[in-house]
Amino acid sequence: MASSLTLAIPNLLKTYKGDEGLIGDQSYLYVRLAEYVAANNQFPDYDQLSFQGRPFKYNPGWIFLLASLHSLVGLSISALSKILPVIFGVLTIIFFFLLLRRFKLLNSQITAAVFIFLLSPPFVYISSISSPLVVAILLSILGFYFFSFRGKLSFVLSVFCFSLIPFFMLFYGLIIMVLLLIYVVIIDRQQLKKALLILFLFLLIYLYFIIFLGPINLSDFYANENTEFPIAEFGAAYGISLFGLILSFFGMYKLYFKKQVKIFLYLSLPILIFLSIKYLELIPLLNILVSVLAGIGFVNLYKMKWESHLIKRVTLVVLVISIVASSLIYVNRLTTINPSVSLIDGVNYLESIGDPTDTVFAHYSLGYYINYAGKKNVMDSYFLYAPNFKKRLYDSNRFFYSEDVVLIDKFIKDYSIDYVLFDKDTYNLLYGEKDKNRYLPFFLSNYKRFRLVFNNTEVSIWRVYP
Amino acid sequence: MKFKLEYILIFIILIVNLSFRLFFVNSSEYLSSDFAYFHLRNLETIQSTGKLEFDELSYGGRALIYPTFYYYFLAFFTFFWKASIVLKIIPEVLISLLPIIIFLIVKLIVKNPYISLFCSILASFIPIIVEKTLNQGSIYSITLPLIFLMFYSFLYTLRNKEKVYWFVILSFILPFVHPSVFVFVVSMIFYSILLISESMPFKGLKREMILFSSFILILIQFIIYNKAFNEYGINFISGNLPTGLVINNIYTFSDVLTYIGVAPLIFGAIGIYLGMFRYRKNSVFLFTSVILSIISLLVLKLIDFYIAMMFIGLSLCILSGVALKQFFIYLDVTKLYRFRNLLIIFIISIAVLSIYPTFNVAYNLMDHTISNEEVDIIQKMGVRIDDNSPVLADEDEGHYITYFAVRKNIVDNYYLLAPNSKERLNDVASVYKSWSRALALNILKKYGVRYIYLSERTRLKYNIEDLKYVEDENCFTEIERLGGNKFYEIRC
Repeated sequence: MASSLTLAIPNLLKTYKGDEGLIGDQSYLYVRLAEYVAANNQFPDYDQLSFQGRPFKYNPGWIFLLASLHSLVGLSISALSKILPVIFGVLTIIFFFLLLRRFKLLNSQITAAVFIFLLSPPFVYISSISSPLVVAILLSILGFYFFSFRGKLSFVLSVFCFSLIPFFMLFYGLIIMVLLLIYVVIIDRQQLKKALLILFLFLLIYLYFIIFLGPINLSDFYANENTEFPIAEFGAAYGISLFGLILSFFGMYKLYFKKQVKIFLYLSLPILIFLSIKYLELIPLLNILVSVLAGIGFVNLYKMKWESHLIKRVTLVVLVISIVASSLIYVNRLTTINPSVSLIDGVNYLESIGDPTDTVFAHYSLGYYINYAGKKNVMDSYFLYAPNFKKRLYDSNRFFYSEDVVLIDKFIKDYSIDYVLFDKDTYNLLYGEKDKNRYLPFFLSNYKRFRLVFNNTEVSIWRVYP
Repeated sequence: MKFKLEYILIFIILIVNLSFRLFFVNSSEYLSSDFAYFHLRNLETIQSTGKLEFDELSYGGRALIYPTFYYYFLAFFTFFWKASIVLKIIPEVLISLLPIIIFLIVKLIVKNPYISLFCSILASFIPIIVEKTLNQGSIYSITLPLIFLMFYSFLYTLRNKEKVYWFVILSFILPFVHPSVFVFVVSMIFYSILLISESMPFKGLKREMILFSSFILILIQFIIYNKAFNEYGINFISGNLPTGLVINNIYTFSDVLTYIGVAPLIFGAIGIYLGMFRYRKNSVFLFTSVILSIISLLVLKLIDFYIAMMFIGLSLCILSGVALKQFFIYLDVTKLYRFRNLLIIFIISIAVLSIYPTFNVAYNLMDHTISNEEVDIIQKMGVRIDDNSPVLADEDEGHYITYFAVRKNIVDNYYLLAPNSKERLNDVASVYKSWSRALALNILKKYGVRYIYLSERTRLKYNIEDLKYVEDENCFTEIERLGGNKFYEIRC
């Protein structure tokens, strides 16, 4: 009950602030696709809007879940997009608790770990947005939970859970497999045969994806352009909690003397940290490990022999306050991250003008909103199986930083651009410290082919004339 | 009641230090930096509204996050004196307490009052501290004494465990004072690493105090400045200093020598060597960690060079005590013992001589204090401007415009949460340096500027005689001139 309330807060708070929109850009992708599938009762072969048209090669799990539940329950897909992540979030908490109990941790350690996990920014985030991430995490935890039993039924259930992961998040499946292998090789070698069986099944699933969808290139997954480790308190929209991270060091110190666990951590943590910097979607997975370590760390601090009871009491209280305060501040911030009300106004404007064949050019991070408005984009953040995305990325960047009209005209002609859209964030991202008088913004103001048709505090839209 | 000689001497040092400062403070009716007027406006705002949220004049209107503890503290004195007087006197009193804290720390480490007195003299006249705190109402006047009081409290508590509550109380106060107290946390992390790597004892109360103070400082800072942390991440610590200011300035060893002084640098370096490698003193590890943490923050461009020099200077003064103590111990077993008094005189002369550059710094600072002419012309313009348009002035004069003219500026030197600060800095520099009238007009139009302030100091900064495009008098009209300072009105 408490956990469901905690996880529902971001969306409730957003609604309370008068913003009915969903949180995060991904939500708009899945709502659009699920609405399409629900309306046609089947998965289409082709998506007309993304990348100006691309084969429908999205992870089908979440879209299927939204569309089928919509047909079954009758709730709107937008409403389901707010409710389902919370339900899956609560289930994740329950099975996370059960999983930790399987690992012979102390009750106090389990309670602390679950508490830290529940309040951790990445978990709050995935339980607030409409994305398959929360299901992938739940399935991973379920998979490991059933895998920890020796019975045949639990093995079958474990196989079932693991094998569903690629249908929700293709990339997650690969990482979970690596973690499972590290786990059985180092900690539970008796289960090696079972793990190999699961691995074989995974290979079959990925073979299916490769045969029917095409080869998977790791570089095609959406990669973070920033090289800093994402920490929520330092402004990352999607980052690990600083206090959790600090506590996890104490947890690691405690586990330092357990050889097998130590090796497991030494292998899996660097892999996850390195990959999380590159692929932010893996942060929730890293967050599970950090939360467990932080829970152990917290109890370790509590049980440590303290010379001053005054300092012990104040330190522990400060730590609890830190974790709660960090989560509260993050929840409040989550309600203000994109899409803002101004951006939604811009999207509504786009929806009201032109026709569906029109192409709107913007930074790829705005691509899902453009599609949601029923217009084609040049690019969005779903790079996997996207047609010529590297060329499009290169051309887009040339257009953003073009200094002559010839280049601009060529790009407009090549991609049949009808509108150009900027919001405050993408504008700052692209031109933050650069001389705006040299690049596209200069031409948007001065070149006769562009005319400003929409402008509010954050969003500007230009019509492109032939 | 009988006073110990050392207390009388430290009191004299306090009085001399305070007199030195008040002498210079009294030599001008104005404060000695543009940023001081930022403090003055904030103090007046706190006085009238009780809070700081939004500055309508800076950057044409911007959200304001600045530690308010300092202003609330000063506001108490505004019941007795005017805010401008409070800002001139109280910070000088506060920073004058710093040598006493240094005295206490050194005494705790070397247990020799006279060496402690010597170190406190060194600390009183560190050139960079004088340059950055004299007659400027600087927040470092309270931050530096409090941070070093915290270090003292840390060392003192290790020896007197029942006094731990002082450390706890200070840990709660410190994060409210200034974000630079982050230095304390980083120092403690380095201290822990040094202790562990050198196989020194790292347990008990020491470990507990480090854990506690680090957690509490991080938590409170995070809660107070969460908006700024979200905006700038870890770079918040540097106050969003523009890239140009952080990267382009290259400092040399002679700068370090000038800002810290020869005596602390030499004695401090010897102190580090002796304390770390020969006698493995716990307290030396602590202040070496301060220096290491500051150097790391400098390398990571997370701290301003001048602030870094203040911390390093003070740490070196403390470490000088260790060097001197070992020197005199060594001296006692050599034949040079006969010349002990002579050597003491020699060392004291070095200390006294090291004060001399500080006088130069102080005189130089007062020479650069805003003049009557500047204040007059800015105030006149403030009366003359009849609309809400901002005045274009250099970043280092932005607060003069907001305080004396009570008009909006385009840019000033408080960058945290300032809207498009980098772009505005470039634009302002372009207006002063550009040959192109069109470019300048474009920028002026962008901000709705009708008046440009060109002072003598701006001309020196940009190495210009005048704006290069003002021949067209129909467009740029000089409407006010006083000495080398003038205002242009844009009429096209």
